[in-house]
Parts: sequence; structure tokens; C-alpha cells
Amino acid sequence: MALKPPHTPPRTGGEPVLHIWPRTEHLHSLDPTCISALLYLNLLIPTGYSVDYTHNPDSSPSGQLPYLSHGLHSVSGFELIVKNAAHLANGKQLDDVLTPADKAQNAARIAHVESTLGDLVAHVYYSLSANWTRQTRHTIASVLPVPQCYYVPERIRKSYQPRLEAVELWDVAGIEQEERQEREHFSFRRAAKKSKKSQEKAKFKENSKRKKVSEKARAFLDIYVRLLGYKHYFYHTDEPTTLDVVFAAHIHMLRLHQPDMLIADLLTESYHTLLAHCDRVFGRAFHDSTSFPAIASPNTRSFSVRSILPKIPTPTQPKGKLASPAWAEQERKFRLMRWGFFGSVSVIFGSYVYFAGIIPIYVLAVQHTMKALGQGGLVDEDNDEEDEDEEDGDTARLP
Amino acid sequence: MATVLPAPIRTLFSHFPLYTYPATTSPYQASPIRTPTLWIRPPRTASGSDVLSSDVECLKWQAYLALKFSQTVDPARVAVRWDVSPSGAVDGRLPNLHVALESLPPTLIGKDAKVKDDGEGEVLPAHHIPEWVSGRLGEDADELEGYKNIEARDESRAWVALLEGNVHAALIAFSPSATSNLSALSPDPSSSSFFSSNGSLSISLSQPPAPLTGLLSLIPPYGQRVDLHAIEEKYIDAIKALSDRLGEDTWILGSTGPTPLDALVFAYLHSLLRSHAKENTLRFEVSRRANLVAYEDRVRATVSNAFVVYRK
Repeated sequence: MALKPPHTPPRTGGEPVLHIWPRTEHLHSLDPTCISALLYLNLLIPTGYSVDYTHNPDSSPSGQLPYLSHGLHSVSGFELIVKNAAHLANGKQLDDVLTPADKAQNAARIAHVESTLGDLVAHVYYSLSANWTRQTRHTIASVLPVPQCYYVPERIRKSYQPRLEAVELWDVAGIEQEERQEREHFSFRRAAKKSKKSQEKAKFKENSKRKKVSEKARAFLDIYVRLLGYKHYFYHTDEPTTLDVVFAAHIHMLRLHQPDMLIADLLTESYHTLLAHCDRVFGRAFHDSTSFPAIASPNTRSFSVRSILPKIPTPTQPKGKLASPAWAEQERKFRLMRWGFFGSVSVIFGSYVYFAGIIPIYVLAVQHTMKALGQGGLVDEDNDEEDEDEEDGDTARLP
Repeated sequence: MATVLPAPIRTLFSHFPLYTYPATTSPYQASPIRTPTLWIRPPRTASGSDVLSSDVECLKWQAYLALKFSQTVDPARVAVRWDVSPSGAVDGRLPNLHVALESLPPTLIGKDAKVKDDGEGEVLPAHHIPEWVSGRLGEDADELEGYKNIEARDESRAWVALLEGNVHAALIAFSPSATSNLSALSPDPSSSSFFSSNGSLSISLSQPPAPLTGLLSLIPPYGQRVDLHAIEEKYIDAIKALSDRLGEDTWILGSTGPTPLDALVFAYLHSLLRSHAKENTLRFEVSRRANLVAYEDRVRATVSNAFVVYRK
């Protein structure tokens, strides 16, 4: 097992550019990991990078935003961006101030926050039908160019469905209700009146589901309130660390005012310390207007033909990694089978052609036509007609 | 029927008496359940000496049962069987625990519980196992669940999220069934440990993976673009953090006794050390950390001894 060399991006000049989803008037970006990446880079290298608000995640090496590009080298995903930023900031990281004991727990806590709060953000924005139909769908469509704005928002919503269903945060009843309402809105038939009893039952089920979601959120947020205590940041530091950044980015998205304020109300009622922590981290990262990063390219909502074509990713880096003996062994087996199959096919075909005598027939036919062409066309036709008559005569005589 | 048959029809029917045949006893009856039996996915080796399942979920619950019972004075042996197909399990998911009716605590006895105990027992899904265990051992609900203090319990939630997120995603992404095409042709879904590698991978990642055909393209989305490099980096960080946190402790987070988190950690370590991953990255990262290997060795002895193979 060869040791991997340290990951150094080539210094091809030019600034590193962070590509994230566009911002809206209340949110720094449409995705919590994009906001975390933005906060992290702004805290670590305040003027050393620029931001590109792009609507095209297919240009990223993994197909997802955020991604950081520096010259020809690009990395995608928050964790890899954090690692690369350490190279850009000469080896400094936000987590350097942590004690070894805290560092050991850090990875687990960040994974916990990203998975649970990420699920809650996805639930609030994509699953609750009031939020989806009245706000999120419109916001995503407004940042996309014309053909994509019609089908991409629904695609993005569907992509969150498996994960939310697995953690029971996918509101099936609410979505069916929403689909039914939209269909009735556009149909000319009068809407069927539901009986009061079934309406009450549906409402009761919905309320119990909402209570379950807020119980889940409460259980999680209580843990982090206890961890934060009366400190400024989660660990005993004066500066925000990666955990603070990730947590604040998710709370920033959860506290936004929306049609359905399930989690936002919960936060404002019971979790003031967490909201204050979020304000503190954002204040530290964007303490004045000059600390906003430069925009790398103008925010164009133009349509490019390339974006509607499928972009099948070409395996670049991973292929090198797959050159292990077991893989080479399998590759060799498959190559053998391929050569064997096509080789035996051609051998059998060749021998069939030879033994069936097809080649001499064709050779004769070619010679005949060459001779006929050499002598002249008409003579040949008369000969053919005579031959045909003779043949007919022969057949007539046979009993 | 509340109405009574009219007389002429009754006389007509009396010419055709109803004869009830006696009940036939079938030789294929299920034997009554005596020891609690855990239904799991089969172990890696076919020999009877290996009772630990090849599936992480089943192994997790096996370890939980074993560690809970190891703490009692007279540890009961739980039987284990793997000849049950997953489609026959509760909700289609193994593991399940098949117990006799009298060992069920009152909270688990459903509304349609059998009045008479005919030996059939009850099959519990996995999330009811802790309740059954606490009912069987007669212990009260512990606030701290065996951890040192509330901070440790909170931290355990974070470790659960790390293991079931990053490490599980790495296990699925680098499993032989995900990377070789031939296994997709095999008709038997139970031959691979994971139902459908693509489905469960998108569940373990917190950000849904982009489709292969591109998110913005006109073609309907198909497939998944899995960033193996990122998954591997996250996995390496996770194992490093786990090893640093374990240090030289007997049980993780410095608890005095085994906790549910120990069962989970053992399940993942055991599966990682025995994974036949193409590149062996998974196994290499764990095996180069001596404390994780020693921990897995220690817990495996306890867990293996707690089970017997099911005999009819």
C-alpha cells in the first residue's frame, strides 16, 4: 500500500475562486455547505480569494457546489476545501487552536451537525410544501436561466427524497395534498368537498408529524446548547473554529423567515444563545463591507447550450488510484475474454466462408462480369436470353 | 347472521349435512421457541464457528445483545440463525429477534396479542430489542444509558452520526458489490450485504450526489456521481479521530462498562477489518492503529461467546 503524497495544488497564478450557489437578499447562498465554505474562507484568508456565484453545479469535479478552483486545479466539497485552504494560508487552519482532546471529538461533532442540521434544513426548505411552493421553488428558479428554471428545481427536490425518507423527515401526506391542490387549481372541475371528519383526521396526523420533527430538533439543539453554555464559541477559544462555522451556516438557513416557520419559531422561542452564536460568527466573518470577497465573474443568468447536454464525467484522478493488483488482475481477465470472444468469432467466420466455398463463387462472378464488360454489354444480354430459353425448354421436357 | 333461515330451506339443507373433518397434524410445524433467537444475515464463512454476521446492521445488534448480557451474573445464551430470507423479516429488514411470549415486557405486548401461548412467540423488529433487553434484565430506564455523564452521552450521539454517516458511506462505496459489475447480474439480493448499493449510499451522504447525466441537462437524471476521493478522505479523518478518542481506554468515551456506542464501534471495526475492498484502504487505515485492532479483538471474544447456532 503506497503512501499518498501530500496534496499540493499547482501554483499557476491567479486567485483561488470559490464557486457557490447565488445569494439572495436574506441568505448568503442557497445551500448550507456553500455558506460554510464561504464563512471558512473569509475567516481564514479574508482577501485572498474571490467568489463566483454560479448556477451550474455540473462544472464542479464532483457535480456539486461548493467547489474551489485555483488555476487548473479544483476541489469539491467542504472538507476538501478546508484541507486545500490550509495550503493557501501557509499551513494555518481554523482548528489549530484546539486542544488534542477537542480535536479528537471535532470530526464526530462536525459530522453530527452536518448530518442532523443538514436534514432539518432540507426538510424545512424542500419537504414542507408551504415553503417549497411559495418560496424555495421560486428562489431556485430565479437564479437559473430559461430552460433549466422549469425542470431543475423539481429535480433538486427529488434528489433529497431518499435521505429524508430514511430519517422520516419527508412529509408524504403534505406533498400529496400539495399535488392534489395544484391539480385542482388548474382543472375545470369543481373541487370535491372533503368531509369534516377526514379533514380533522388529516390535520391531527399532520400535527403529530410536526411535533415529532420539532422533538427531534429539540433533542439535537439541546445537546449543542449544553456544549455552548455561556462561552462565545463551542470550544474554549476566542476565535470561531470549523464546528462554529458549520453550525452557524445551518442556523442562518433555519432561522430565515418563511411561510412555514416550524423550526424558526422553535429557535426564536427557546434557543437565543444559538442565535446569538450565529450572529457572532457572521459578525466576525463579515465585520465590515470591505470584508466581502470580490466577485470573480459577473453574475450572468445567461443560457449556455452546453449546460443542457449531458456531461458524463471522465475519470481523471480516480483512475490512477484504481491501478491496484486486484483491479489489474480483473482487467486482464476481461481483456482475455474480450480477445478470446472476438478472435474465435473471426476464426469461425473465416473458416465458414472458406469451407462453404463462398469465395470461389464470388471470384467467378467477378471474373465473369469483368469479361462481359470487356466484350461489350449487348452481346452478353442476348447470350443470357438464349440461356434462359434453353433452360425453360429443359424444364418443360421433364415429366 | 341475525336472520333465521326459513323452514323449507332448512329442511332442504338438512338433507346435506355439514361434516367437519378432523384437523390434520402437519409434520412441518414450527418448533416452539425456547431460547430467544436472533435472525441475522449469514456470516462470512460457512463453517459453524463464525457466528458474527457479515452485515453491519445485524452485527451491531448482535454486539448490543452480547454486551448487555455479558454484564449480568448468569449470561443467557442467545441463539442465532441465518436461514431466514430478508423478505420474510418484519418490514423486510433483518435483524429480528424471535422471543417467547412470556419474556415480552408489558410495553411490547400489542393490542392483538395472542391470548394463549402456543409456542409461536413473537418476532420483534430491531428497534424493539433494547426494550426487550431492559424488560428481560429487569433494569430501570437509565438516563445516562451507561455513559459517564451527560457530556459523554451527547458526545456519543456525535460518534453515532460519524460512524453511520462517513464510515458507512465508505463501506458501501468501496464494497466489492458496488465496484464489480458481475454482482449486479446475480439474482439473489442476499448474496451481497447491502440491498442496493446506490440507494443506501445516497442515504448515508448528507448532500445528495449529483446525477451522472448532469443536474442541468435535458436528459432525465440517471445514476450517481460518487466522489470516491472525498469519501475516502472523510473516512480517513473519521478513523483517525476514533483512534485518538479511544486512546488506551477499555470502553470508548472512558465508560466503566460497555455501552451501545461500543456495540456500534465494534460492528464497524469488525466489518472494516474483514472487508475485501479492492484497494484495502479501509482495512489498512484500521489495521495500522493498534488500539483499534486490540479493542476489536477484545470485544469480539465477548460477543462470539454469547451466541449459539440455532438447532431445531
